Amino acid sequence: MIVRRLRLIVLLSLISVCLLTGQFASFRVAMAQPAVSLELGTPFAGQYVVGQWLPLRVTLRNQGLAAATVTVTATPADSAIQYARTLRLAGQTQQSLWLYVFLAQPARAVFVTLAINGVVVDRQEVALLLRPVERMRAVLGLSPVTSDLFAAGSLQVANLPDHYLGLSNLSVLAMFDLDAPLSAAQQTALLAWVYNGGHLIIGGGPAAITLQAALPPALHAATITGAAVIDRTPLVALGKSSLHMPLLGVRLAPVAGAQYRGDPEAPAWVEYAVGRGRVTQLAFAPEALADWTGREQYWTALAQPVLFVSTPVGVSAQITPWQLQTLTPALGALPQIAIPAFAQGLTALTWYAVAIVLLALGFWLWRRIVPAVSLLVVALISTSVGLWWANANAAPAYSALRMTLIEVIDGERAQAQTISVMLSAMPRTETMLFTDPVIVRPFMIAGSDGSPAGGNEGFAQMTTQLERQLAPWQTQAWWTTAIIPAPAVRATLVVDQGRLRVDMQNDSQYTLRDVFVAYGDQLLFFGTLRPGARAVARWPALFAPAGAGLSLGQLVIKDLRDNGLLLDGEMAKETQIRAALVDAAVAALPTRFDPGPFVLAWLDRDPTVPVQPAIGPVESLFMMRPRIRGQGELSLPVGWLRLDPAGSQAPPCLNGQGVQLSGETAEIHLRLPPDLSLLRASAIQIRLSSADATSNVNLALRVYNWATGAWDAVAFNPLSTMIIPDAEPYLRAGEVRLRLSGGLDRLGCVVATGGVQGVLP
Amino acid sequence: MRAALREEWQRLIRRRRIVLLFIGTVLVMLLTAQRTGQLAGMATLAALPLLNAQIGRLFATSLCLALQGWVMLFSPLLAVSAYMVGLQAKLNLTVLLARLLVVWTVMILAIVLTLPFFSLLPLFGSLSLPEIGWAFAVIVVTALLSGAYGVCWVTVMRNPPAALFFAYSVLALWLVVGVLIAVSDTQPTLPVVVAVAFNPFAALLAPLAPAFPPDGPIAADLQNLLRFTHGAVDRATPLYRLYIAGSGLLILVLIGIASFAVRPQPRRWQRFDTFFSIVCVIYLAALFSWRDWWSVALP
Repeated sequence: MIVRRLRLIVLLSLISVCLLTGQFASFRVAMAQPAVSLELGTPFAGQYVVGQWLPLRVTLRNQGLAAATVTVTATPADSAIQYARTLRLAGQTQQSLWLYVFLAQPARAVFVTLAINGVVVDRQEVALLLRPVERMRAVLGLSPVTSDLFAAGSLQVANLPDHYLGLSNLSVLAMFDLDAPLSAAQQTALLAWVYNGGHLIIGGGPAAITLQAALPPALHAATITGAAVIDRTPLVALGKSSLHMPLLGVRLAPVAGAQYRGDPEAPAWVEYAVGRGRVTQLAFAPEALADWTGREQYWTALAQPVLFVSTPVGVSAQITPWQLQTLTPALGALPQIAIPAFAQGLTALTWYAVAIVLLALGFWLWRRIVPAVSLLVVALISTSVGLWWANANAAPAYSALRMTLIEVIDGERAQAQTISVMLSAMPRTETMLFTDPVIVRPFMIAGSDGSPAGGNEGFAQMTTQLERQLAPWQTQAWWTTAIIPAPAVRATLVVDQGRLRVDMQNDSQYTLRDVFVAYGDQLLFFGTLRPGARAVARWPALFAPAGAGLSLGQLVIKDLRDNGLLLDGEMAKETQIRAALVDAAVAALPTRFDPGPFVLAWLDRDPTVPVQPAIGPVESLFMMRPRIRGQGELSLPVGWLRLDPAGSQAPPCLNGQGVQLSGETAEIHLRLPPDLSLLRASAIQIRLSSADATSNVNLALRVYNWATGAWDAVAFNPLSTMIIPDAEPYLRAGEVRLRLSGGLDRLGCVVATGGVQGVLP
Repeated sequence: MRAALREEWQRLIRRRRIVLLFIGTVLVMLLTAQRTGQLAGMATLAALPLLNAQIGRLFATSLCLALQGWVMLFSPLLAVSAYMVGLQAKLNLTVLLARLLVVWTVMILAIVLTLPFFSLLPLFGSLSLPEIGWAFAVIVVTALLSGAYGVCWVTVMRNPPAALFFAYSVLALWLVVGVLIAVSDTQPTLPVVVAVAFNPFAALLAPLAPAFPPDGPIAADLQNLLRFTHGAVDRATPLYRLYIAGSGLLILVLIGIASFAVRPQPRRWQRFDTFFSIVCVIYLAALFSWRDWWSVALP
C-alpha cells in the first residue's frame, strides 16, 4: 500500500515538474518574442502621379530581445500586386528603409502590412492624393514662395528617397538647404532622376558651396569662383516686375555645355542639360528675393518641368513611360519554338509494335513465362530508351524574350532597364538572378492584362533573386530596373583639323557589336569593338539626307541592311526588337531638342544577369552620350544645326520630324548641341525641305542678328542650300533664328537643317 | 490461394482474347499516335509561339483517351473470358479473388506495354510528370474498376453473354448520362460535379485540362472536347481526385456484391469477410483522413 502511494506521489511530482518546466519555457519563449513596431511616412504627403512610383519610408523598431525576419508589404487599394522588402532585424534595434509602390491606376490608399517570421502582426493604411505631374514640385529647405507652387515643401534629407523611382513623381526639385549630407544612394537617385527628365534647381548664395558639394560632379552646372553682384535682368524678365535692390551671390562659371543667363561675368543662374533633364544652378540665395513683388511669378516661371510626356498611362515628367511605350510593340511577338522531329519517334514506335505483336503471338502459342517476361522487358527497355531520346531532344516548355537597355548616366554608373516576357505551356517557377539589386513590377503588353498569374503577386524589392510563378498560356512580362556599374566604354568627339573626330575605346569586358555614333539622322558605323579595342573615325564632311519619316532605330536597321549585315526577311523579330530598343534609348520626342550625339552598341551579353538566359532572344543595347571637346576651326556638315521644336513658334509635324508652319509669318529656331554652344560661326548653311514643293511658294527668309537685334533679310532659293556668309552675329549660344513669311499654309511640314563653319574657342 | 491463382492464370492465357488484348492495345496506341502525328503535321502551318507544346498536349490527350477507352472496352470482355461455363460449382470466394487479381494483372500488363508511346511526350516539352502521372493513375484505376465491374456482372449473372450485354449497356448509359449532364447543365452544382467527375474521360482529362492551350487550331479541338466532358465545370477542378477516391469505394462495393453472390447457401461469415471488412474500414478511414485531398474538387 505504501509502495503504491509512493509511486503515485512520485508520478504526481514528475507531472508537476514537467508542467512547471513547460510553463517556464513558454514564459521564456514569450519574453524572447520580437516586438516590432512599424512607422510609415511619405515624403510628398501622399501626393502621387498615376504611372509612377510612390515612395514609402518605413521605420522598424524591434523592442524585443530576439532577432526577427521582418517583411513589409505594400499593396495599392484595388490591386493584387504587392511590393515587399524583407530584412533581418536584430533585437533592440531600429532600421529605416524605402519601399516603392507602382501606382498603375488611381488609388485612394496603399495598405502596408508588417509580418514577423511570416505572421502578419500589423496593417496600416496610407492615404493618397492624386496630383497632376506639372504641379509635383518639392523643395529641400524652406519654400521661397507662400503659395502652393511646391507641393511638398520643407523637405529634409531623410525624406529624400534612395532610388530614382522614388523621385519619379516629381517634375521639379529645388535644393535650397540641407540639414544633413546626402547619402551615396540619394546622390545616385538624384542623378538618375535628372538624367530621366527631372529638373533640379540648386540654390546659391551662402549655401551654394555646401549644396554643390553634396551633389555628384555630373550635376555641377558651374564652378563657383567667388562672390559677385548678380545681373538681375533675367530675373526681371521672368518675374515681370522691376527689381531695384542689388542682388548678391556667387560668381558662376558654366561648365562645358552649360548655358548662363544674364551677364556672363555674373550670371543669375546657369542651366545645364543632363540627359533629358536639367540642372539650374542659381547664383543667389532664394531668400534674397523674399521682399520682391515678382517672386511668385519668377519662381513659377523658373520651376517648370523640363520634360512632359503623354502616354496612355498618364502624363509624366520622366522619360521612362515613353521608353516603355516605344518598346511595347516589339514585345508582342514571342519567338516561335521549333517543332521537334517526332516522326523518328513514330517510326521507332512502329517497330516496337511489330516486336510486341511477335512476342504476344509467341506468348500465346507457348504459354511460357519467358515470352511474358520478354513482353515486359521489351516494353520497359523501349520506355527507357524513348524517355532518354525524348528528353535529349526535348523542346523548351516556354518561350521568352528579354530586352535590356543600358544608359550611362555618368562615368561610373549606368541605369539598366530590362523587360522580360515569358509564355509557358505549363505551371512553372521562374527564378531570375541579377548582378545588382533590382526593383521590379509587372508590365502590360498585348495578350496580357498584366494581372497576377493567380491570387496575390508579390514583388520583392532591392533583391538580386526573384521568383515568379508562370501560369500556363498566360503571357507575362516584367520590367526591372537597377543602377549598375557603367561598362568602361570611352567615347569622345574631338575637334581635329577642322572636323570632328570620334574616338572610341572599349575598356569593358563586353564585346560591342554594331557600334554606331549618331547625331540626328546621321550615323557613323564602327562595326564590332572587342574588349580593349580602339577605333577612330572622322565625321564625314557630307551626309546624304536620310529617308523622311524614319526613326533612328529604323535608320540603324536600314544601314545594317544596306551594308549586308542583315539579310531581308531574316531575323524579322530581332530587327523589330533592335529598332524599338534604339528608339527607346534615343527617345526622340517631337517637342524636344535632343538629337544627340549618342553612342549605340549591342552588348554580347546582358550585364544585369550573372547567367545568360538559355531560351529566347536576348538583346542588350548600350547607350551613352559622348561629349564634344577641343577647340579651333570646325566645319560641321548640314545636319548639325537642327530644329528646336520647343523654341519654334509652330507645332511639330505628325510624323515627329519638322514643324507645321501656318499663317503669314513663322519663326523657327535651329540649334547646335550644348557642347558646341560657344562656336563662333563664319558661315552657316541652311536647308529647308517641305512635304509640298516649295518652288511655287513665294517665301521670304530673315535671320535674327543677335548683335543688332534686327531680322536681316537673306537671299533664299527654296530648292537649294542657302549659305549665309559672315555669320558670326547670327549664331549665339548655338542658336540660329529664322523667320519665314509668305504662303506658309501651302508649305505643309517643314524640316530645316543646317551646317556651320567657324571656330570653337 | 496460390493454386487458384495459377489455375486462373493458366485458364485465362489459353484464351485468344489475351493475344488480342496485347496486340490490340499496341496497335490501337500506334494508330492513335500515327493519326495524331498527321493532325500535328497539319497544325504546324500555324505560326504560334509554343506550337510544340500544343502538339504535345494533343499527343498526351489522344494517347490517354485511346488507352482509357480501350481499357474500358476490353476489361469486361477479359473478365467474362475468365468465366468458364460449366465450372460454376467450383466458384467460391478464393477463386473469385484469384480471378479478379488475374484480370487486373493482365490489364496492368497491357497498360505497361503502352508505356513506350507515352515516353515520346517529353519531346514536346509541355507536360510535367505530375500531370501525366495522374492521368496514368486514372487509367490504372479505370482498369481496376472496369475489371471488378466485369467480374461482378458475370458472377451475378452467371451467363457470360447476358453479363456482357448488361455490362456494356450500363457502361454506355453511364457515359451517355455523364455527357448529357455535362452538356445540359450550366451551373457546376454538387450533383453536376460528381456526375462529371465519375465520367472516366472527364476524370482522365482533369489533370491535363488546366494547361490546355487557349488559342490555335489544336486548342479549338481540345476545348470542344472539354465541352462534352466538363461542360460548365471549371477545367482546373481536380476531378481526378474525386474519381480515384470514389472508384476505390466502388471497387470494394463491386467485390462485396460479387462475393455475396458466389457464397453458397446458407451464407455465413467467413475469414474473407473479416479481411474484406478490415480493408473497407481502412479505406474509409483513409478517405476520411485525406478528405481535403479529394473534396477539393467539390464546389
